[in-house]
Amino acid sequence: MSPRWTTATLALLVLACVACATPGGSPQALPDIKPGERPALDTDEAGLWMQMDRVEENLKTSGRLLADANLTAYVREVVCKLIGPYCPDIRIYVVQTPHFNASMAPNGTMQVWTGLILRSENEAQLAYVLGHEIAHYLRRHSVQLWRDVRSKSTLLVYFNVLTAAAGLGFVGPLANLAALASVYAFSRDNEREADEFGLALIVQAGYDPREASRIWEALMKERTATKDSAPFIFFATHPSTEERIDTLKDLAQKATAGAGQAVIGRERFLAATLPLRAMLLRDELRRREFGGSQVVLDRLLEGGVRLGELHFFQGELYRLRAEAGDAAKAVAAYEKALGYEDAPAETHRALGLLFSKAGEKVKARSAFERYLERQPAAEDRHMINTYIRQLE
Amino acid sequence: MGSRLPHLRLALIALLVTGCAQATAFSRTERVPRPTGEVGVLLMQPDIELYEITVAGLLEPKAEWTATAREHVTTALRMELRGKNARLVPYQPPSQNPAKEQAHIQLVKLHDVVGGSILRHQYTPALVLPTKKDKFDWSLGQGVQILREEYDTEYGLFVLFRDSSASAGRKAMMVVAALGGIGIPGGTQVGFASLVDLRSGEILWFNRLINPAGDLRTPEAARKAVQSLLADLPL
Amino acid sequence: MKRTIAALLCMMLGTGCATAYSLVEPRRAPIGDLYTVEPQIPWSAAKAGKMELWTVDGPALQAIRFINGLTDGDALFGGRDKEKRPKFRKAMTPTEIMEFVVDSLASSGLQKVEATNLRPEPFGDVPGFRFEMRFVYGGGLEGQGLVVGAVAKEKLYLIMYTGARAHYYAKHEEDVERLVRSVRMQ
Repeated sequence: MSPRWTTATLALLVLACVACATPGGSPQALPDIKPGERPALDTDEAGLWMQMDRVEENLKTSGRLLADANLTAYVREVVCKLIGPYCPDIRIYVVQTPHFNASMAPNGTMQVWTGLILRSENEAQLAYVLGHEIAHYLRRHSVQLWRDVRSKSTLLVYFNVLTAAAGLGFVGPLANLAALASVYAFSRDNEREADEFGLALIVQAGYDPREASRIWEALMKERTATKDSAPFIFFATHPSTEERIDTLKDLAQKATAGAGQAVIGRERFLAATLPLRAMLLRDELRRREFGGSQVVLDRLLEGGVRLGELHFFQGELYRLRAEAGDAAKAVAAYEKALGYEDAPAETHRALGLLFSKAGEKVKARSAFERYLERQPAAEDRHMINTYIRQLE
Repeated sequence: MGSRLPHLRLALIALLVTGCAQATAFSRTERVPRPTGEVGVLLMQPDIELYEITVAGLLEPKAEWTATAREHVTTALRMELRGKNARLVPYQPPSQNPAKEQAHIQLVKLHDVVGGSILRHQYTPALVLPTKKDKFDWSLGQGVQILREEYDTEYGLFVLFRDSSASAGRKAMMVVAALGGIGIPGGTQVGFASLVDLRSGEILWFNRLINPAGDLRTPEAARKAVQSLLADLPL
Repeated sequence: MKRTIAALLCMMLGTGCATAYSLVEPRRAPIGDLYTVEPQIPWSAAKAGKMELWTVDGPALQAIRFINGLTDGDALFGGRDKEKRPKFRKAMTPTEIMEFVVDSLASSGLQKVEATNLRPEPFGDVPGFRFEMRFVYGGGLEGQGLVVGAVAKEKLYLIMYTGARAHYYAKHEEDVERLVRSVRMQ
C-alpha cells in the first residue's frame, strides 16, 4: 500500500532535502588552481579529470584536429603569454570545425575551434577569447558547475520521486526550469568573472583591451543575421552579450587610461592564419548558413587583405545560395575577384559553370580553358575537358 | 562519456536496461584448434571506466576506483591466462615513433569499430545482418602484422569493462522508490573481450558480459568478473 | 527515425523482432526505378526513403549506398533540419554534384572529406561521372570511397561505396566494381 502524502508534508520533505542535497548550502568558491597542481585521486575533481583525460585522448586521434603545426604553435605562444607559470600545464588543440568556440577543461586541455580563428581580426581579439577561457580554468569554474548541477539535479529527482509516489504525476518540467534557471545564473556569474579576469590578463600581457568588445560585437551581428540560434554553441552557457559588450567597453576605458603602446598584433596574426583562410572559408560555406557567413565575409572584406580570394568566396556564397538573382551577383563577384592578382584558379571554373548555365557558350568555354591553363594538373581536368567539348 | 567506443553508446544504453547476468560468446564456427604448449597473448590496453550513479542518475566518473580496477583486472587477466597456459605480454604504444603510433592507433580504432559491429549486428536481434547470420567471420585484416613486428605473440586480447555502482544516496532513494512502487535501476557491469589471431587478423572469439551485481574494486570481485568474461576462451 | 525507435524497443523487449536487414541474393534485381544490377555475392540490405544500403560487415565498416532519384531540393540523406543541408538542384553539373556530395558528407559527421579525380563515365547507357573520396569517420578511423552516378530525367542517381581504409574497403571493392559494370537501364 503506497503512503499518502499531503501537500504540506511534501513541501516539508522537499525543503528538508534541500539541505541534504546541497552539502554546505549555496555554491562555495573553490580556491584557485596552482601551477602543476593535480587533484588527489579520491576527489570528485579527479573523476572529472579522468573523464577529461579520456576526452583528450580521443581528441588527439579523432581526425578532427587541424593538421597545421604552425597555427597550433602560434596559438600556444599567445596562450603562454597570457598564462605565465601555468604554460607547462596546458595542451592546445586546434579543432577544424567552422563554429566559434574555445574551451578549457579542468585538466588543462584547451580547444580552439577554427571558426574562432576565422572570426578574429588580430592577435588581441584572439587573446581576449583565450584569456576568458583561461580564467574559467584558473578559477575552476567547471568543477563548481559540475558540483552545482549535481546538487541541483539531486533536488529535482527527490521532488519527482516523491510527487510520483503521491500520485501527483510528473511535475518535472516546472521544477526543471526553476532548477536550471539557477544553474544558468551560476554560470552567468562565472562568465562575468571570466570576462573581467580575461580582460585583466590581456592588459597585463600588453594587448589593447578595446579589441575585446569588438569581437563580441561582431558575434552579436552575426547572430542577428543567422536564421536560428542553434549553431551558436558558444552562447549556450554565455550570458547576453549586449550586457558584456557594455561592461567590456567600460573596463577597457579604465584600463587604457595611462597605458603605453598597446599591442593589437594584426601582422603576426595574419602571418599565422592567412595560409589557412581559404580552407576555413570553404568550411564556413559548408554550413549553408548564408546570413551569418555574409557577416563574416563582410568583416574580412573590410579588412582588405587578399581581396581576390575574398571576392571569389563572395561569388561562392551567391552561387551556393542560388536565390533569385544570385547567379548574376555571383558572376559579378567572380569578375571582381579576377581584378586582383591573388584570385584563385577556381574563379575561372566557377564562371565557366555559371556562363554555361546562362547559355553563354563562348564565355563558358573560354573560362574553362583559362582554368586549365592555370591548373593543367587539376584533379577534375577530364571532366572540365568534357564540358569544353560539350560547348563546341 | 569519453568512451573509446563512441558508437556503441546506443547499444550500451539498451543493454544496461536488462536485469540478469548474461554472458554470450561467439567464436569461429570451424573448430579453433587448441594450441599445444604455451602461447603468447598480447594484452591490449584494457578499456576500463568506473562510475558512481548519483541520486539523480548522473554517472559520475570515479578516478580512484578506475585506477584500482585497472590494476585488479590486469592481475586477474594474468592469473586467468596463466591457468590456460598462456603468457601475457602487456601492450605499450610505440610513443617513440609517431608514424608507427598512428598506424597502431588506426588498428585499435578498427577493432573498436569491428567490436561495435559485432555487438550491433551479431548480438542484437533487430539488427542482425543476414550476411553474418549463423556464422562468425570477422577480421582485422593483415594490418595486424604491425603488432607481430613488435611482439612475438600468436594472439591479441582486447578487454573492456564499464561498471557503475549506486551511491549511498541513490541506494536510499531506491528504498524510498520501492516503497512507492517505483523501480529504479541500480548499477550494472558490462564487459566485452575479443581474441585476435595475430597471424591472420581473424577474430577467433568474442564475448559480451552483462552483470547487474558485478564489481571491480576488489581483487576477488575483479577475478570473478574476468573469469566470467573469459569463461570459454579457446586457449 | 521510426525504424531506429522500433529497433531500440526490440532490443529492450527481447525476442520476436524481425531484423531491419534483408538478404540480397546474387542475381539481377532492380534498384529504384531506373536500373538493375547483378551482384555476384550475397549482401544485407536496408531501405530508407530514396536510399538503399547494402553491406556485408555492417555500415560502419563498409556500405554501398544507392541514392535513387533525388529531385530538385532534396538533401542527400534526407534528415530533420533539411534547411541547413546542401540540396540537389536539377541543373547541377557533375562538378556541383561532387561538391553537393562532399558538403553533405562533411555535415553528416564525416571529417576531412576530400574528393578527387572527377571524370566522365557512362552510367548504364546514360552519360555520367565518377570520383574518389578520402575521409575520416566520426571516431577517427580512416575511410575511403568511390561514387558513380548520373542525372536522368532531372533526377540524381548515385552509387556510393565507402569503407574503412584498413581491410574493409578493399574486401569488397572488386565486387562493387563488377556491380557498377552490371548496371542496365530498366
